[in-house]
Amino acid sequence: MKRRRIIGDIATYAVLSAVGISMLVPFGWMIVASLRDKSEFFTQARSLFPSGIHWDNYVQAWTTVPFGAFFKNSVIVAVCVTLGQLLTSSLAAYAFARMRFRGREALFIAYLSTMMVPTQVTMIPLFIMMVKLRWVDSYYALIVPFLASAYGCFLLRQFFLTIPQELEDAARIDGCGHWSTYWRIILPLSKPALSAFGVIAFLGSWNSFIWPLIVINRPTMKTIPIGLQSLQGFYGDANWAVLMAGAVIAALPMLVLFFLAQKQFIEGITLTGLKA
Amino acid sequence: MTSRRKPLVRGESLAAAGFLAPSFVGLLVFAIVPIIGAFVVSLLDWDILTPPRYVGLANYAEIWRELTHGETLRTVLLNTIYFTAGTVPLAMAISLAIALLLNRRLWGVGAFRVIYFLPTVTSIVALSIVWRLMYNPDYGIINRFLRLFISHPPGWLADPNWAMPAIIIMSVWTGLGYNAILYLAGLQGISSTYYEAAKIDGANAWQLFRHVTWPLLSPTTLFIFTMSVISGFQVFTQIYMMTAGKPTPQTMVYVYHVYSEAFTSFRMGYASALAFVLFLLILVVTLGQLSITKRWVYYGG
Repeated sequence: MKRRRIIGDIATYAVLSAVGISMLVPFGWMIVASLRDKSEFFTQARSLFPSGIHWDNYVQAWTTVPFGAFFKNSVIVAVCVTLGQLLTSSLAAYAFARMRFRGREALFIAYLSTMMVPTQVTMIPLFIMMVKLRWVDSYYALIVPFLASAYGCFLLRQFFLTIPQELEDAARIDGCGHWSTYWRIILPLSKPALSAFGVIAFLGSWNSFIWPLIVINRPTMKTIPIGLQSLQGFYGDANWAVLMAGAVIAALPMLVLFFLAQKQFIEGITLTGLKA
Repeated sequence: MTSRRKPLVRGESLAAAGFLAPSFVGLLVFAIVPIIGAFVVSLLDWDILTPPRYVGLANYAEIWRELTHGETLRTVLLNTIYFTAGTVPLAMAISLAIALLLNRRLWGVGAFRVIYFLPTVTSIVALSIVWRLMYNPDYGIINRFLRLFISHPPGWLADPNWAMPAIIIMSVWTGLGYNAILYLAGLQGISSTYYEAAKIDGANAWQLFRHVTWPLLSPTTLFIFTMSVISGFQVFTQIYMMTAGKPTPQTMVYVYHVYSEAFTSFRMGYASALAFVLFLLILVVTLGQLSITKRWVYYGG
């Protein structure tokens, strides 16, 4: 019996490691390729490892397209969208979970139903709206349409409903109004839910692709994903080394953040499901 | 409680309006209005630059004609179904297997969880570029490896027969960790008492899986299945980055078609009608899935 268990454990490690290696190979390949000389890619009989370390690929990637500006734009947009969604969603969630008013259920269902519509449907009218507002190539186009999230309202409402009503009643007796109950009781008690939703809101904004692709043309206004796309547009298949260096630069900030806050990332995404 | 609270309710409505206003305005202007707008635009012939022309349901008629006469759109729809049908079952089976192994809670399993999660947090744009290099028929790592065993490995993205499978493999790889973590959360929610009871009855490992794990995991399976099919129908980024629909039309998928009709050909009306049809398709498929699967999903006692 014990022997069977050990064999089972070994088999488990073997399979998990094999899958783990398949997960790591593309990342390793990306790093190795980013350090090669560009001519190395076209020779058949080259070794798995680069002939020398060519850091200049990174310099060339950084100077071909303005990665510094991309990074700044991505940070500004993702931070604003995340904070905005947290604020607007938690306010609405509080009203849906804790206040009595006419038409509450109907309004909640109306909120939920906006989630069912795929982004491709709203994308074209939103683009026309951005053109009319003259918001194309601006932070407004990347931030303002995403300040409210029906999904966030739904998630936070579900969490707020689990907070015992007694806590709130006690606060009410102490003279707290709705605003101070929301700010001083509900929000501090909801840190796990807020951080979970914050993680997916940030990740979603950071990696979003099709919308920035549509509304941003000016190179210095691009976010990291569409900035990296423009680097591919620039080199195609002609200089893989610089492209890989660009991919590393683009992937690195989120990977670092992930390693620093693994627990929050995995819990957040498990708890809430990631909305593609 | 209700009658005593009544005077408060009116005051609360005003306060509630204050709490709801920011999200309500945001959703109204940037979700509801565009949905209506999309329908209005779908009735127009409009390139944004010149004034729009009302054409009624002509755009929908064109979609119907293309679908029934087997033109581009039918191919595009079939490609999208091919992608979804290729990705979803494969990704679900592999990620369930991985989750079952992770759930054995051996030492060091946490590290695997982190590794599997790497693609989930990485931009698909960066991953697409790397996979494009790996798939290169001449000097990509995949064919370098395959050449050790076979003399003529496939041309992957450049080969009409292999381009879509290549995209499918890459997409399964990308979503694996995320699905496995969801399955793992589902597995950890199953009370161990079920397993203990079944073991006392003499169940073997397969019977445990078949009669305990699988039924109790069915809500998670339904969730992953539904969400994966929806996102399968909406695949865009890896297609845009890796093939741009080439070799035409083998990897031309629905959303890529909507995108190029709207923002390359500037046929806003036709593209909006296409987007609406996609919405209906997703709705019908999702409702169908829910009604078929409702019978075998077990939501606990």
